[in-house]
Amino acid sequence: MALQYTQAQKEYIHLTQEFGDRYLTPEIIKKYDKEGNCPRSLFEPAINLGLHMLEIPEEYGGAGLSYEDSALVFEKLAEYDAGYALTLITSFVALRCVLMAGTKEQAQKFANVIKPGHFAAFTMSEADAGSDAGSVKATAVRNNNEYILNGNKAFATNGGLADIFIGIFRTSDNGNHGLSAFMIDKNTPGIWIGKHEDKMGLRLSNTVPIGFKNVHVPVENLIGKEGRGINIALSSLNLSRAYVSTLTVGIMQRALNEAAKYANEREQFNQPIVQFESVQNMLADMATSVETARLLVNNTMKMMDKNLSVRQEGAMTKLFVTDIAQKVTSDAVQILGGYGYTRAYPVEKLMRDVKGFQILEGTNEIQRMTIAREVSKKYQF
Amino acid sequence: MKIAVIIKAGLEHLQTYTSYKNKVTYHPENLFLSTEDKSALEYALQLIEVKGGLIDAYSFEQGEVADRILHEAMALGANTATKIVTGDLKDPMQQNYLVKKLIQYLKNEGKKYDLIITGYSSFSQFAAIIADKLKMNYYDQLTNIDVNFNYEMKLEKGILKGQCELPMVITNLSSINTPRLANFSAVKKAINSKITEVSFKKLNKQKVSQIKVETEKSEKMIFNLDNDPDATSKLITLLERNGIMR
Repeated sequence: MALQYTQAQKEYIHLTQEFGDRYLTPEIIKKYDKEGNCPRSLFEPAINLGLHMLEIPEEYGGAGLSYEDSALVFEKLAEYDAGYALTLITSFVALRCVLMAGTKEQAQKFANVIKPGHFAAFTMSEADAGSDAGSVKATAVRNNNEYILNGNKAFATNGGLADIFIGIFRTSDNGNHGLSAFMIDKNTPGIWIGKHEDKMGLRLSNTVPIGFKNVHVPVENLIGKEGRGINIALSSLNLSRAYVSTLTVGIMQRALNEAAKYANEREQFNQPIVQFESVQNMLADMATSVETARLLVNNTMKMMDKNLSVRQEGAMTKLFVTDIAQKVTSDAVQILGGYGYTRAYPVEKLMRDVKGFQILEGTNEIQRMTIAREVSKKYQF
Repeated sequence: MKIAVIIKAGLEHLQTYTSYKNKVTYHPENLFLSTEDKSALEYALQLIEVKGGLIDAYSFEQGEVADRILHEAMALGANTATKIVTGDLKDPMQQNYLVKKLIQYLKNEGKKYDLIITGYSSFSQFAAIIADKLKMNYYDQLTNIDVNFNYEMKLEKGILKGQCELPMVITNLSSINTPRLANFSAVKKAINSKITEVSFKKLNKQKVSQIKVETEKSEKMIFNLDNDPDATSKLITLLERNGIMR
């Protein structure tokens, strides 16, 4: 292994593996992947372990692990199912945004909702505002001591599970700088949750449209100041990008494990197919990709632990890791051949899951724009 | 109640030993708490929850393995962790000595236990030695036990049932319960907790077992399937004897 784990990291990873072996068996994952949902009850053991608040500081009820350590935990969890891991991550990334941009009271209020085992969602995208966040149309109009929210959001991860949202709404006509972030209790009158999206992959992750019709939220629920919404959204994206990369590494590792195991067992022309150079080459490329991706993610996480800006590195990591994962998972299906193309083996699911990460948390095209912008500052083009 | 749990690493992980071109490599980084000892600890925790008390975890493992399994024990709920860094408990020649030294240590520290429990393994006969020296009751290879000390021991055909009496030493199989998982906060706290290190005087070389590797001369056998009518049955008999065929 290129990455040398510390003693503590080995123990965290081992606990995650015990958890996954016990609660996320292949039969359970296959069942819910086919159904395209995940019951809340399946998350209860994860909540007992503290996986829903892994990186959150202890004063707010979290385990207080570093970004580096928590990334390794979620990488291992993603080997079982990335959609399941994404659900847990989305919750504490939302809380982390409040910690970074909100008041202590807001952070405590948010943490008090999540800690007992509830979920959070971060909702910004709309039908006409995906990569172009500045096109957000949902409005928040100030009225004395409250804001009134109106509009529809799309593709809200955890939207159907969450008890608390962070929503980005337009408070003025000032492009990106007219957006503001609000904490919204799910039970506030006027909120409707749409039908769960029938996605290609990450099917254990809940994704829904959310509508807001004359939803009244108190002024105290504004996070930071008016107009700071885009900054909060970008901070959230920095975090979730890094975690999405770590989940992708987990998927790739699983793909490699499955492909290597199959190649050793499957015999053609009187020998295991692993003896054929073409298969060996694929496995070699896959292993190299996994190790490289892991090191890149680990470096980004270490930078985040040091409070360094990861605008460029995070984008590079997400871009590289998710693109290379397409090849790794596709090669896994190729090695398993006809069986890989069926649901009998898990590799086709891995290939479907990985595609989502090229789109979520900023498409890879947007990542290239971000990287080019950062690189242009350095090389002045 | 005062409970001592003697824990060890499990060898279930497939990558504990790997071999390549006749060289065997030992991977201690793959060693964690054995499943039987997790069940032992779980039983101890259930007793404490009902009857109150403390759990002390002891390990005879070495180096990082000892630290790791004691962290696991503390994360699950053991109150203290002690590692004995001298000797090898798996060595029959050292077992008596180490057990004697452990008992001496416990007496010096004023530690008196109602229950000493350890997961059953191929070398857990040291538990019997402890029971004998401390004059405690001994129950071996329990397949089930509840918080009222009703036990079961599975036989080849049937189950032996009874009730244990304190003070006692027991060895258990993993079937006695499904152990709980620790949470990450507890693991983090355990990693930063103190492990007491105890060392005894080392035994000299003459008093420990020595490993001798015997190279087997492989017997060449030729089965003349064309000319010998019994060759096929001889081959099958040999393959069955060697466990290659069933």
